[in-house]
Amino acid sequence: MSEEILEKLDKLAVHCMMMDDKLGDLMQIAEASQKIDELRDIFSKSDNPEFCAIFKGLSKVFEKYILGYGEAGKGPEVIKLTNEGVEITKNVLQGTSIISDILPRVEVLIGSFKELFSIEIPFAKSKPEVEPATVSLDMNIEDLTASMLKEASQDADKVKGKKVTRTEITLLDENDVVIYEGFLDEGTDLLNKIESDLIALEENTGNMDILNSLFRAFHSLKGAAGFLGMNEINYFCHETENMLDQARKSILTVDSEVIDILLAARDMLEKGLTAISETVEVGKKKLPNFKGFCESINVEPLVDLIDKKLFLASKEADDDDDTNPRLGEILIQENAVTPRQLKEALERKEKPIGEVLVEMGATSKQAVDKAVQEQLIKKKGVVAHSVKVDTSKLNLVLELVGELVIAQAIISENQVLKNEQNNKLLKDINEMAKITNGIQDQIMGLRMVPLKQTFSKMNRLVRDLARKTGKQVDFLIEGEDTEIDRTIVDELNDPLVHLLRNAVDHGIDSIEERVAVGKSPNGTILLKAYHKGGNVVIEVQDNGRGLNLERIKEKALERGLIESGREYSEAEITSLIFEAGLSTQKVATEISGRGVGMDVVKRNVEKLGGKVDVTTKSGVGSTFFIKLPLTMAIVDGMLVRVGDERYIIPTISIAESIRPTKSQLTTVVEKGEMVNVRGELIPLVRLNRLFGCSNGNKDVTESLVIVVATESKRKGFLVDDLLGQQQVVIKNLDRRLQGIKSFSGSSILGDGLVGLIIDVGGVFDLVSS
Amino acid sequence: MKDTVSEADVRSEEVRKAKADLSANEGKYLTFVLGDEEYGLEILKVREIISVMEITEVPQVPDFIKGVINLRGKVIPVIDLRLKFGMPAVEYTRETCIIVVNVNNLLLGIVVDTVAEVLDIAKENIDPPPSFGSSVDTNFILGMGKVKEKVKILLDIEKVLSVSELEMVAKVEEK
Repeated sequence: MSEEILEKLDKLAVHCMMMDDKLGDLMQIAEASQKIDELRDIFSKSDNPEFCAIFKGLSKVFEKYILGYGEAGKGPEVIKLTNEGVEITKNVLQGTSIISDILPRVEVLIGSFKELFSIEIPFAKSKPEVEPATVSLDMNIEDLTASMLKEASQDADKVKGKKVTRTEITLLDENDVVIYEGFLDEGTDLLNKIESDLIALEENTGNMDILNSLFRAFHSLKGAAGFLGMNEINYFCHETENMLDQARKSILTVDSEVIDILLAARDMLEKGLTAISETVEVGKKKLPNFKGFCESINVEPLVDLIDKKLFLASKEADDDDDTNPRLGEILIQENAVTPRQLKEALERKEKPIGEVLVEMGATSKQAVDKAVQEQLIKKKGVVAHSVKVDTSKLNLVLELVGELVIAQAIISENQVLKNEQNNKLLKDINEMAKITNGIQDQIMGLRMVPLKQTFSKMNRLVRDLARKTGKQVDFLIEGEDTEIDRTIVDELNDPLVHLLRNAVDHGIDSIEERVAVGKSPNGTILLKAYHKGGNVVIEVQDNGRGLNLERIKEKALERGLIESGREYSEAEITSLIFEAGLSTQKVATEISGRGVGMDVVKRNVEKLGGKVDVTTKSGVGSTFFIKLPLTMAIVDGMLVRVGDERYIIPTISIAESIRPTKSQLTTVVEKGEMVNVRGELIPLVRLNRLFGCSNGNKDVTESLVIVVATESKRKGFLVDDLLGQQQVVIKNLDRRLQGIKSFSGSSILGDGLVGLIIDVGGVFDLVSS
Repeated sequence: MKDTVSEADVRSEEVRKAKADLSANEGKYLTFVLGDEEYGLEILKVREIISVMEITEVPQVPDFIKGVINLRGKVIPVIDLRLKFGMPAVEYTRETCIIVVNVNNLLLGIVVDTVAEVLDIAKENIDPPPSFGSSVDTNFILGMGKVKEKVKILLDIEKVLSVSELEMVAKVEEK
């Protein structure tokens, strides 16, 4: 909160700096006034009458200028006053002054409002007891964390005493919520990591790296939970961590039982996090009720299980092999010292080994420092050099960069520049364009994340499903490093879950069936991602029984989705499985078969601007394809002209564009126009009529026909001109305009005007209704 | 957030007073001209005033929705208040302004003939909206402000441009 205010203040200060001091530019004043009003609104909600008064005054001053009765001569004064107001506020917020220090300055400021602009601001001083302004505005993070730390350390003793409950309900302020949300974010990430690690561990039980990584993950979770006083989680993680520690020391052998326990522990923690997130989100007011959470998940049996496992294990082995590398070993590895020197140094036990070695002249101090660093890294695990950024901030930057690119384009298109002879200037502008585009590319790259996390979550799903259905499934993943837009990744989970469920439940045949037809008893499911022509394709492949086309046809007839007596191609039949309510499964199982699912997959994928498809061969298996755009923020579009208007048609829907000859045209009852493209009759849509742009009834042969296709239909859009293909940044249409089916969004074109993006499916619906 | 007791407690007396005043329609109004009539908008609803710029037409919407503009990277709809009120359309001139208002937290541009001034209108100078029976809809009028013998029609912008009204869009299209 206070950071946000500081940011706003800074922006205002920068804006003032750039303002013309005669205050002649209305746009500039309007912008400053808007910024001031925002601050005024913020402060009017807080308990700081000083700031409130400052910004109220400023707001009134600017109002005068907006309406044109401010005196131009007083312009510099206005800027001075604004800067003074900003500075006073900043000083207090940043903690360099306290309210009582700045009071005289505020009074002077308010005095000048009256003197110069005859604006009177009623002003009452703060109550003295709220002296440090930071507290009254909002407690800053450090204070809060410090107090929490204190609380956590008080609670720490109780952890050992197992059951700690906390029943009181405390009010959360916004900062708390932020902290809890941070914890939940981190927790979810850790749990995902734990899950993928566990699956990996199952394949490779002896792997120390994985064990260490698991240990660290539980440890981090324990730390974070303890810090927030979530003792139950802290305690539970502690137990799990113990078990992992024993495994690390090879006292406990990792077998499937241990993995099951750990998986169960992970799930339990997930439940806990969900419970907390619900309280934090719904209430935003109450501290998560830990008692309720503890009751809802009974951790004791699991803890007992862990204890038992540990007890048995400790009897078996007493070999205490520490995996922490020794400093000396590292130094030898690095060839910094010889084994003989090390041995010598070890005998002189009086000081730390590193110091002894340096004293002996065996090695340099730098080498020892480096080795110590390395030792630390090995102990703690590699520190990831990454920053977590809120997606909304990222989107904001992205938007701004989009603006930058457009602004750049507007400058380069400027007529004055086009006639400009100054080569140096043109070169410089060109250079700037390059940099701008570079920034855009990089920023787009930031939004991209690999599919790895989403894919590895599926591991668990397939494993559990295979167990439940009693099938043997080898699950293979390919191309998990393929990157895709963040927003798409988040939406991809559900469709993938549906497809994989179907693959395990219906796709893969039972062991007996498989053996009977001479296949290996283990079914294979392949989840694969790759780039193809500016899109990301995700495949879910199984080598099971394939779709039963006859049965789909039967069902579809039953439901009236197709007509009897007509011939349907195989592709048409298979695409029917994406219709709602169609399941070929005779009995709905716990996992799938209720006929919901495939239509959801289709809907979700289409919402992301993608397509689903399926190919199948009886007895050999089926493959589902999900084709997705790389990003949802940008669309590859064809800019077309219709009459005087310009529209964007997404390139993904365009099949081809043709200039038809007279012989290709047919009409139905003199109205419905169609064009014959290589034997296929394609209905024409006159966009100018549909959109009401006037250019009369032009002859079709004089227009261009763009053949657009959705998965089932093809139509030809009549346009006047193709203006070129370009990537455009999508801006959603105002909520109030979303009733228009023909457009999916808008974008700002090269000249700064808005262009509308045609929603091909929407137009199809419109013309067919 | 807004309505909790703790928040309300910390609010200064002044803010509370300001709120009370608002409900009584008293306060600052930005006035503008449409034909021969003067209208007023609550200043708190006004985000900024810009000179008229080229507007991208949006098909399949009622006439009064002129289209969309690019307001520093935001795409916002623009309506022509003359057309909305059933007055004859006029050519846009240098005087023509777009007032950007905040309606239910969404920005919207309103094309008006010209912007006049900001006025403080006291409570005693505001008359209740007139009633003309069914011939003229006065639902969107907050009141009639009398300032120096002149009358300003004070608009309830939320009612003028209710979301439901803009959702008419969908209906128009279905015809």
